[in-house]
Amino acid sequence: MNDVVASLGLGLAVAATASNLWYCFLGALIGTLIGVLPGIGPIATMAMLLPLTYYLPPTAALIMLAGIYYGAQYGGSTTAILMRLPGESSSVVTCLDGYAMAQRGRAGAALATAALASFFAGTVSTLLIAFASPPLTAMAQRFGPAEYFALMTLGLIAAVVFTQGPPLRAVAMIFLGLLFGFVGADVETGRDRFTFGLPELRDGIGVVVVSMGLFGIAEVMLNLAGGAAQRGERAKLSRLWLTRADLAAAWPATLRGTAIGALLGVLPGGGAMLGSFASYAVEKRISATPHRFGEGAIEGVAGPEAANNAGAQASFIPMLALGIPSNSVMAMMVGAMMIHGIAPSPNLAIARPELFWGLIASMWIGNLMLLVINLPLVGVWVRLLDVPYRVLFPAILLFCCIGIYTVNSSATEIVLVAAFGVLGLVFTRLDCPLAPFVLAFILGPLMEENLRRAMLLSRGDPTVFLTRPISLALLVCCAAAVALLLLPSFRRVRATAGAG
Amino acid sequence: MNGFRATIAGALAALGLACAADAALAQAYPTKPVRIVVAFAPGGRTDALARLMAQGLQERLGQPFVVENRGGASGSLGTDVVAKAPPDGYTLLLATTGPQAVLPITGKKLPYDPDKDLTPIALIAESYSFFGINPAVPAKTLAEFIALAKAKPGELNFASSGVGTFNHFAGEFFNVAAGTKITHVPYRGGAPSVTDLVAGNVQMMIGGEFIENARAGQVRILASTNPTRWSEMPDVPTMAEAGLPAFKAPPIWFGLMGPGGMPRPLVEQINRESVKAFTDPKMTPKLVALGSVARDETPEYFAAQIRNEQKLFTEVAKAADMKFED
Repeated sequence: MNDVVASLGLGLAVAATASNLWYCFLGALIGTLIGVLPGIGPIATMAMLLPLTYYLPPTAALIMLAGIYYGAQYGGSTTAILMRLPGESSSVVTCLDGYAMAQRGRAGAALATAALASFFAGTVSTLLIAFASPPLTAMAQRFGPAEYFALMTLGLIAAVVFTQGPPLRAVAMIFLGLLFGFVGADVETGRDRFTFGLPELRDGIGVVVVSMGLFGIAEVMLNLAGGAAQRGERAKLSRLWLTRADLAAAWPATLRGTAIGALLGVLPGGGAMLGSFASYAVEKRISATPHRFGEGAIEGVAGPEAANNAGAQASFIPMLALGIPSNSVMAMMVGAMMIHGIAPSPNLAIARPELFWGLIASMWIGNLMLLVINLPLVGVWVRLLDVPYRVLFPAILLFCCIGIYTVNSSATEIVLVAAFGVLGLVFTRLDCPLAPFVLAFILGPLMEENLRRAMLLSRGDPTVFLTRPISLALLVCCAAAVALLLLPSFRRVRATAGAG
Repeated sequence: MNGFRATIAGALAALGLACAADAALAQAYPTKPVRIVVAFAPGGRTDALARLMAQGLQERLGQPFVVENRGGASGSLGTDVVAKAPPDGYTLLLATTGPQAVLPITGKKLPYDPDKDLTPIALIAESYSFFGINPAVPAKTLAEFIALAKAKPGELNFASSGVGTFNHFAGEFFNVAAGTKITHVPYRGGAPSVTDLVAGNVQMMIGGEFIENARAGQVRILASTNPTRWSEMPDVPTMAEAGLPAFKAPPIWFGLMGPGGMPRPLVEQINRESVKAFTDPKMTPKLVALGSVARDETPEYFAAQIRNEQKLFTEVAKAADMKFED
């Protein structure tokens, strides 16, 4: 307890240095910006900015990237409320009652509710990360290669269990991701695998290349192919103040939304979106007047907005505490760490306390900044929607190319990014989920490495995975997760959640 | 007679012209920006040293020296860029032990001839490496550790940042010198190997990657594997002082190389300037921070050292039965 407070103090000291405050602000600002713009999500943006983080200290890089992620949750709701245009998938639900409120002349109240609920959820989940991570980390301290292998197996199985859509597709994407992850020199023997004689592939395909292609380039192409999103008429802004009745209705919904979002955010494959849908459903079900939902119920804004922000931040827990990314955004954060030679591991809090706690503290500071960025400046953000895509998209593509080229001055990598862009487009059109692919791509090589290292250290004895208690417990969890997937009742729940 | 004098005069004139051309060349270089290729991604010691060198040469020669990172394939991609560039001094390589002394002897197919397509220019720095063990291992000295390894043959492990890296070779140099059988466990890069050394999943590692962990008490350093003690850790003995003079792993070095067939005066000029850049006293603390020390050697010494090390690495690979596959 005292340790956590002292550590948070250290984190605040790190996060409050001038340069880190600047990168936190920059991240929050960029996040809001791309959150407002439909068609460009936080994942694509983070992928584009990854190469730039080479030139930043690791703490500043992670602070900025995190800011983009939770900043997008704020920005996305602005356009959802004012124009029925969800800037992010996680603010789809906010469109329902947020836009309805705006049409009744209460746009200001809806915006204030969204921002305040998000801020509250952000504060709570920052504390949750601070208190939940150390015990998890302490357990993970005893991890050796066998435990890592078991943990990563669990991570991949969980990615199938909790991803929306048909499990078979998720499994297929995982195996495809594993295959791509195996490209490059074998760690144990140095022998080349799947390189087709290209020396550029000897070190494997970069995380940056894959994520920028699959998310960044593919997203631009999808937007161009799909045409502009349907926009509602832009509602007029009004006073931002909330009435006493508003507060009384929004407050409990915010609390529930925070709890739901945080819970679903911690799960592998979780994140912002699932929580916002779940929270809306819960609010509607427990409301005494469910007919008001869809016509401007303030609970329908407060709950989901709290949930998406709580979910966004809670998904940092498995990444920070165990080194296991639970979704594509966290995979990107891991990528940023690997660029700086920081291996994803449960040792992060001990090996790099300034980075670990600085990042956590910066999240709270960032949420505070976002409150300021979003509420008074909301008019500025809405104007951004006037930027035409014919200017925006070429700029994004150019930026991607420059970014990737600066890393290794390699033209091959630009070609690879383009190839992964096409691959991303194909996958999305086939309704194949990208997250399991990226997770397997990142976890696969680590899993193989740990498997073989565990076998090397045990001098070839495979029972090492069953005789070490933590490894055994994790493998039992794997079996349970598979069993869960086969359970008919769970499959029904999973299907409904997927349908939204 | 006249003919003879004319010949002499002509020869003298030609000689003079040649000298003048050399002098002009020496003075003329550099007239445009020079790029220093680093065969690794940004971050890390090679990149940091390249940036220091670029800064030093830029101050001395008045033209921009630009560091270009061309990482990949154990450094052979970046080396290839330099090997195929014109030998005019405007493309230089920040050479180091891995790609230049180890890679050529591992049998990997290289797109260039490591002897003919590169000109050794200057040895600029040497970095310190250490013999580190996990603190839970019951050995306070190198002798105790050797005794422990001999008492438990095949039970201890040593970490490396990958197959064919300096850590890997240094570990095998130790096995050969001490007559131990410690198992090699490769990792993907320096950071994860140090993590497992600290956690105790592997017991030993030779390298410069864990200096900070040693200062924090997470790794116990038993010896410096360089021929001399490091000024920053004067209490740490060398391998010979710790009782293992047979340990022959050469220290990690950094140097400048150019494309094959560079003109002699140009090589000498760059050698002179780069050595001056690193031996400058204001550079010393920056080098110390990177666990390194400046060197001042001729191009010939540098070339001979690379050949000598290739021989040493080949011998230990044979003695320790190290296998490299393409």
